[in-house]
Amino acid sequence: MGRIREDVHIHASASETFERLEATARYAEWLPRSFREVAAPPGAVARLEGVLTLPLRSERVRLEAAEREPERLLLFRSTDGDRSAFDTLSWVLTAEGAEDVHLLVEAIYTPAGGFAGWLLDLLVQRQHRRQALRDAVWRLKQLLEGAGPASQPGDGGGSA
Amino acid sequence: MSANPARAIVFDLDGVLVDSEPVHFRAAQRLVAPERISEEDYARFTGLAIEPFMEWVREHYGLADSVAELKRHYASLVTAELRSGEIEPLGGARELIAAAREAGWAVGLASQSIAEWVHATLDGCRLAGAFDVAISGDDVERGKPEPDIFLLAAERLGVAPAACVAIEDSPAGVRSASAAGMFVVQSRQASTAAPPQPGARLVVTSLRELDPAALGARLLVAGA
Repeated sequence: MGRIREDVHIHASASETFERLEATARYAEWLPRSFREVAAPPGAVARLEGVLTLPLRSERVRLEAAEREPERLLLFRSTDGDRSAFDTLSWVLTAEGAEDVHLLVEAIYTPAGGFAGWLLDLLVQRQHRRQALRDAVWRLKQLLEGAGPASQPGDGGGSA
Repeated sequence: MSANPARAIVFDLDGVLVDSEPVHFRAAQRLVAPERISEEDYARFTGLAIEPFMEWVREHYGLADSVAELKRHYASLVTAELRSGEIEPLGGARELIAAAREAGWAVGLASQSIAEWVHATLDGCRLAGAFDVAISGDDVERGKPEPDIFLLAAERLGVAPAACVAIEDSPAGVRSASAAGMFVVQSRQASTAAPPQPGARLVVTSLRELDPAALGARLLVAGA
């Protein structure tokens, strides 16, 4: 079981940030390139699918909203057991002012099976998984603060 | 237990994992027989240390035995009741313990009951060995509602109290875990269910409503 946390301070309201996090159909606008084929299948609850590209392997992302507390908490849970890149993805918001919010994301995941999978995660993939989340919260911050998502490697300096 | 668990779940025993109060009530009736203890009188001592109950029994029924002697007699009666038949854990208890383990959480027990009863109960419901640490009322000087028992559980589990979820049922237990700084879930599943308590952050009617992912998210919101 692996656990990664990243956080960021955003100059935006908690309600606007929460709304954006619930809008899985718009995740493709700000998730970094390490996430491919990002989609939001229709359903009664918010769902998110895609592929997370890691060194030496790609992992499916299949999540759906499981817990929701407006402007405070959004918990996504895997709909594919431990075959999803993340078992759970928790977004936690703390309003620090009318236009200031602290956003924390925690991802819990199950590394690929066996000792080799554990070692690969420890030495290589964990850092990339963390970087993917770090890029995600940073790009979301840029988007919500009106600057548009930050450029990504290979963009040639422009906004994505 | 995980080598370095980030989170822990600490269960009360009676009224949370098992509905053992009917067992204790039967033993209390045998203690004062041929007199009877009313359910209302008995309920006043639910979740508290045993000494105040024995003191009350001694005074109320005019018994000649000392509190210590009454406590020993009562303990043997309860143990006999606990060992007389199998006790089934409440629905969802086994599943929640297993899910917490799978999620890498440390799992503890903090029961105000004496160690003899705790072990008899765990043996009876086949939960012996399910916990990384099991703290009983014998391990602390100050019982619930003081926070000592939960603080000791957290210390032995190696997890900060703020990163622990406590599952409690009684008002004294909720106060104890809350005073220890834990995220308290009040379970109202057993026959002795108390009204929702002020210190409970979450109130459920069944352990089946709980899972580590959602509890972990709640801990995050609480700042753990």
